[in-house]
Amino acid sequence: MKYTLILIAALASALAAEEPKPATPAEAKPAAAAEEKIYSATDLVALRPLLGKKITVEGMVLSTSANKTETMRFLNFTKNYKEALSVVFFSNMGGGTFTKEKLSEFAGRKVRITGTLAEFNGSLQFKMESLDQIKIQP
Amino acid sequence: MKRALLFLLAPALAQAWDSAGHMLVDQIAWEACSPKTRDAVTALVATLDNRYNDKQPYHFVTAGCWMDDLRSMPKKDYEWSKWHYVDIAKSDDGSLFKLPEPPHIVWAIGENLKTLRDASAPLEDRAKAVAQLMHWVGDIHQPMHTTTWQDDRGGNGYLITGITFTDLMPGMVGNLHTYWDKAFRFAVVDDKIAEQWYGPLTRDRPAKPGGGVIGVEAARLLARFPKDTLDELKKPADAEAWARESHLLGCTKAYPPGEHTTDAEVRKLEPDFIAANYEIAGRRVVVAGYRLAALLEELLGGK
Repeated sequence: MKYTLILIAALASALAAEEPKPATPAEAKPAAAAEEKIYSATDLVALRPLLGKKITVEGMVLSTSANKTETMRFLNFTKNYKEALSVVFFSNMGGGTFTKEKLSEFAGRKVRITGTLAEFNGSLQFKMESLDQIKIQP
Repeated sequence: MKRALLFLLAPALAQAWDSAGHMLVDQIAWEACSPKTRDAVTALVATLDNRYNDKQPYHFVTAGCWMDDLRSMPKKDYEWSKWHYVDIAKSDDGSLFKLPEPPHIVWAIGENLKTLRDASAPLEDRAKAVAQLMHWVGDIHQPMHTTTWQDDRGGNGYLITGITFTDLMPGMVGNLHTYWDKAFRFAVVDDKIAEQWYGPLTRDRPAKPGGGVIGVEAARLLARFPKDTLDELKKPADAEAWARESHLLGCTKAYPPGEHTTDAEVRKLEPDFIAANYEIAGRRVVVAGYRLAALLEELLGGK
């Protein structure tokens, strides 16, 4: 809640300070081509202020796991899930692609994941909608 | 006494290549085997006791893990501990190489070959023999499985620091053997030691040959070490010769420069050492894979 208020205040301040002007093609191009910032999946200090934003994180997937009923699956970047962003898959989403076999394909590999940063019980997480959000890094 | 205490700190069950290493060996063998041999191996290993493989049937690429997976059974029931290695004292040039009385790994490979060449051997025995053979052929190419120095049990008593293992229990100290089990994936990037990829946990093992990080990394190894550049493969298949080859590496390359550690010492591994072993270990894994493929072809492929 506190962070939401801060975010709203920051947005309002930014809107008030900048006079809107029409974007020309020349201005739009650099913005589109601007290099996206990649955050470490384990850098919780850097991630926390970005709650609610769509961001990309990078990390090496240590393992996959699931809850007892296997309604939720996870990609883990660290042994202790509290030490990194949680990547959460609800089994009934993703059009049937959020399977143990599919997720295990990412185990051991460096990935970039794009998603909207959320919080659950104090832990930062991505609630995944599609495997397309994950890009395996060379 | 001090050394005994240090052993307690070290992982109790240092294996050969870790499960990722064994799967790499098997994946490379899979690539080199004919469809007939692949099918024959697949049919045999699917019958193995899979209670420690996340209850998944073993396949060609995971079969090499079976011998280490069974270490999860009560210790008194695990009868193959001495089959994984042969302890031969380190010398400057490997000249002390002499096989001791069995059981040891060279003998174990011979036993498996006997079973697999016996057409009347029961299916269950053949399945065990092929999975054991797949494991031992991996193990025998790990230099620390043929070399010991100052009774350190193939580097298990040589404590190290300088690299981070993601798969050790909290509070455990890494040792040189543990490092060698994973040396094929620790490289030096920007002067820093870095694990290039993680070995998959049991539940994340590839569902079939070619899958997951193992399929990708095996392909990378095959590209780094083309078959026609591996002079080792020109020699005839001979487990004692393979052990001798590994022992020479164990004597000349596998330990950091200098004297053995003292009882209380934990030696820091340096980037130069890691970088050199990244090449050695990767090559050993590839050589093991090709040699395993040749054996399996002979035994099960009708060649």
